[in-house]
Amino acid sequence: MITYATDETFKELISGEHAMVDFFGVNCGPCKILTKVLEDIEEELPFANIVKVDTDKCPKTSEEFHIVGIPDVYFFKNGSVVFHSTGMLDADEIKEKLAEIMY
Amino acid sequence: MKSRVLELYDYKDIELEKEDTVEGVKAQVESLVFSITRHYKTKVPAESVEPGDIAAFKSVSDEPKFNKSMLPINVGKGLFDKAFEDAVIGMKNGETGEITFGDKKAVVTVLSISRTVYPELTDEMVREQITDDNEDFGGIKTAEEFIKTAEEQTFHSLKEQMIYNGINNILGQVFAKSKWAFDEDELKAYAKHVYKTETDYLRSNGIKVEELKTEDDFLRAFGDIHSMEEVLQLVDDIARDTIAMALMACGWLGIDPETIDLYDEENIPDITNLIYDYITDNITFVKEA
Repeated sequence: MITYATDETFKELISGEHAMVDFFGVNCGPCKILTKVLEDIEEELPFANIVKVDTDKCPKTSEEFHIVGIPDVYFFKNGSVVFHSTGMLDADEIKEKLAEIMY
Repeated sequence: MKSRVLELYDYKDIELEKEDTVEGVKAQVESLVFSITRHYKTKVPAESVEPGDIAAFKSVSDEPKFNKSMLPINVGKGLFDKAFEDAVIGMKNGETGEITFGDKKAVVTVLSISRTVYPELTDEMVREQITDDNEDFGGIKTAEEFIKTAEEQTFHSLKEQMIYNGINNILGQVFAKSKWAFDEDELKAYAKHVYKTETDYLRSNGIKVEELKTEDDFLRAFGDIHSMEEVLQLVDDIARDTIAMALMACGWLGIDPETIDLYDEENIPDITNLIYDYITDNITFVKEA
């Protein structure tokens, strides 16, 4: 499931067993491509916890993670970061990382 | 031009098949239909597990990975465990059973099975999804029309690809079977011209070639190239091929090579139409069965 975070809800959304976080900007071209990829993945893996963070609307969270380039992607397992990547990831890479944190 | 062809092979001596099948039309049309019907998909409960189902299991096992009270899986993708996923196929909703997968065992209960169903294409879907300004299908209002147009366009597009592959193949054969006398100075000078053209193209796309810091950056800008040797080989090949094609044109169209200016693209006669016509006059392209 894809959820859009706020600065207030972010910590709770990533506190579970797994979470993938996508820091994005609304005017960022690669971010839009990644959004489409994540929507397709959501259809395949509706039980995956995908959290999207609009860097304009969530300045505190973006600052905390030192977001400079977008898209910027984090994978959390039990609340801890296990993988981080700045830039595009393709669908297979994302699914592979999701499988690592989900199972 | 100073280069010459000593013996020019005639492209018309290359035998062609009388008939060629255009393959891949069905698959592409299905994909186009899917691009519409995917907006109308539904999820329905299923009675037994099949590949592609989203199913949830309870699994009891000595191994922690397979000991879970709630295990959601897209069955058959191999994202969880391929052997486990293969072993649960066929299990019924609500069923509990022991499965063996590789050297492991688990007692598995099927908690739920959800299947995505894509409906058949309808006229209503076409009207809702295809806007009048759609470049390929604008104005189409029925499913039958959509499929017919998709088939025609796809057949044409794939046929054109086959013809252009055929043109390249024929040119390659002519090159290999002809005898050439390339002027080395002319080749080198033209290769420099090709290199400049390519780097000018990069600059016109905002890539400041002079400011690229490393050789890697330059190579990435060029495309799927891994070394400067490959770049130089590429421009040499382009230069040689361009000169060869100009000489083929001279030979087949009766043009004096002295009148050809390699640096004026519009001055170089195009022979692809000759070979295109040769292919389409001799080969009948048919749809796959």
